[in-house]
Amino acid sequence: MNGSTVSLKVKRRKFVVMAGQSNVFFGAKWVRDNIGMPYVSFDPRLKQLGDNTTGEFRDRIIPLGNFAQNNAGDTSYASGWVSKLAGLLLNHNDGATPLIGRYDELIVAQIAIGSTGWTDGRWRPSGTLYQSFLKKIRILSTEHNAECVGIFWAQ
Amino acid sequence: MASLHKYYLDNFVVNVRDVIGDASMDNEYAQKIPFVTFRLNPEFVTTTGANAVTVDNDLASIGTRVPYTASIDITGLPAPLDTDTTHYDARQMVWIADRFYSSWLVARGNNLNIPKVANGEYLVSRQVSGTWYSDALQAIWQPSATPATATLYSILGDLWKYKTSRNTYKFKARFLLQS
Repeated sequence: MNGSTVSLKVKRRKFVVMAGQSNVFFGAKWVRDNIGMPYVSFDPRLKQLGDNTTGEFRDRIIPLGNFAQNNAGDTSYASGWVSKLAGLLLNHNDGATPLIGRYDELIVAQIAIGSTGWTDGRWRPSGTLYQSFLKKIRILSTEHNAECVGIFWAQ
Repeated sequence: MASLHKYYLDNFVVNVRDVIGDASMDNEYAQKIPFVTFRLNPEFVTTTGANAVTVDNDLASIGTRVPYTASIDITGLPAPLDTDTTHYDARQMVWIADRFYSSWLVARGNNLNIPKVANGEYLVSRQVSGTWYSDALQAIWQPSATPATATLYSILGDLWKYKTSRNTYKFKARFLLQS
């Protein structure tokens, strides 16, 4: 090694969960069609979670995600609200330490929840959607080493 | 099933925090992660009826039951501009989005003045007529019309509804008595 050193920089990742279903889709589409994405200017630290049906986590730069609801598989439909929220969080990153703490990346985890009436067995603790949701949170926390700073639930 | 919605919802918040606590090894932080929700579309509640009213009330009042949660106050929500009675219209959604951050702040400070809970524990808070229990006996049972045929309603009987994602039960009982 000749005395050389290797410097490893661990990214400080934060994530915020935006969970919702169709109620989010409609307004987001209007925002896209009529006023675009006015809330968040381009910021390379801001990413969103990709397809949550396959467990694949594809980073996308907001607001470039699509808005297909696609049977609640592609969760980008929440972008209207997510962008607003993320923009607010980022705005507090000017100068002083932001309320959510310093970070290198802010991941917006848009997770489709489906069957939100809670009458479906999938949303009982042993249910498939319930467990799937928890799994995604666990992966974000462990494999992505990200720290959750908030959960937004659109029933 | 609608009567169980509140318990599913409250459990869910606890379970999510537990998972993050397990993963991050910082349970104290995890138990304080702000959880923000908001009410159903008022038109949907009106047209759907009793079950939707129950769910709507559960969402609106989560901040009184689960620490570090909040529900966005929709007082003053703009009138709908479309005929869709299920979903918020675009103007309403933008209006709600404007309140995300302030509600996140509310949730962050909403400790409910209740004791800390460990990972996997549930803290069941219950008030009688808006106040805490007047005696220890009242804390574990109270006369109730729910179910209508019951003469005594066991608060402890509610506990079975608090099932964790691991299919286990773990509770911390703490009684707050009025002086």
